[in-house]
Amino acid sequence: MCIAFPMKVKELLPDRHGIVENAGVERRVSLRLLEQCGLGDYVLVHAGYAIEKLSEESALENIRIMNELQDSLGR
Amino acid sequence: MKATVTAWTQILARAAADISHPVNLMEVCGSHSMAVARSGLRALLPPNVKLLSGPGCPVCVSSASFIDQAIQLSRRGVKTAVFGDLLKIPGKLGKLRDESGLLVIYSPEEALDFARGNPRTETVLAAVGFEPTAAVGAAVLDAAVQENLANFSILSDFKHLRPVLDELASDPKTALNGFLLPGHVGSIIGATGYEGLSLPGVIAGFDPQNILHSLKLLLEMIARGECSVINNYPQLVADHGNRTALNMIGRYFTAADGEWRGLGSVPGGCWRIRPEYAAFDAARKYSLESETGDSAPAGCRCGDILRGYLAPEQCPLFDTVCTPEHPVGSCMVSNEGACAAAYHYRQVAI
Repeated sequence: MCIAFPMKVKELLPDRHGIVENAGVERRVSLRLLEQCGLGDYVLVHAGYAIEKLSEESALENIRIMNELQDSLGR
Repeated sequence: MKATVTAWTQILARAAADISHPVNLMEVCGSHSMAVARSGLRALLPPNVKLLSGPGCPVCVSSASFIDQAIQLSRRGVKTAVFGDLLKIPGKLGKLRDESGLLVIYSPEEALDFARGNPRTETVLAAVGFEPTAAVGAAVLDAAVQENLANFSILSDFKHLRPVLDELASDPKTALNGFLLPGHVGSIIGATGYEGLSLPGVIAGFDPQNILHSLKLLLEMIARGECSVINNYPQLVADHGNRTALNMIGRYFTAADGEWRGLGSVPGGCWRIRPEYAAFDAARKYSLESETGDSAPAGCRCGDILRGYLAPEQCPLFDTVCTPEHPVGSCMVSNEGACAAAYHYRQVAI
């Protein structure tokens, strides 16, 4: 449940939602918990909601680490 | 700061050199439990320093009463939506995975969508989590309230982490000297959300190098007798956190006394839905009773493990009777529990 994953905003949708993407996987998420969010922003996604914005550098680093953690559990 | 394994052993030894007493540090985040166990970094700690895994996994600390309430709802024909990791947690009435008709979801929005699409079906989102999930729960409540979704409500076991940190800090039996603080909770509550603790803390990320650096900073604070919060994960954790999320939590929830499995009732330890939104609070809407008190299976030491009194390996059931395939207590059931972490990486110590 702690798991939150950085993903990149690919498309903005009406009603404060967006399509985010990482490694070819796309998700429709709510942007309701962010003050503002733009195309190309990296956001931390938790349970279908973007909860934080982060820099591209931090996002890519975070993705690498989370992948390592999940891979080693065979998930 | 990055260094080799050998260098870290020396760096940490130097940081702890001026501390003459045993040092107990605690991490309170399921992902930290995993990262620490996987990297085996406990082996790099000086002999007088221990790193304990605390109650950082919301699934592990969800109360048996909550599970029983969700089971009761499902048996009454209410469409009950749960995250998958709740399915195997034991309640007194059994486990959710044995109930039929559950809606297993990844995002609470799926529960909302179900309620919207089935207006004559009573729907409940039964959810656990710390502040990040509580914020999501609040956003979901916001949508339900605005749409006046009369067939939808939330059974909340959202937890308020901060009061538990204060309790752990003052527990003489655990005898803690400092905290490794969670980053995702920090991204919501901000570095300021951790201020005022009676012990020093460092907000850390999940990279083992970052965790080791954070431990160095923590040991140095302890050596200096300093009690502050250092934010070693500023890329994710802003000073004041996510104000939008905090405001959302504050609008729909209030901190109330509630049970953390293994810790008993924690003052202010749970996020309860505000009375003005009682129509969306499943516990009130369906008049569900909540039972307190532990119902741990015989021999299960999850309570002691969650408080840091015991390490997983010290539980007599660990790796004998209790394994991920046949878990007994919540610490082994959850993917992020201290026992699951210790079990998965038990062969990989340096």
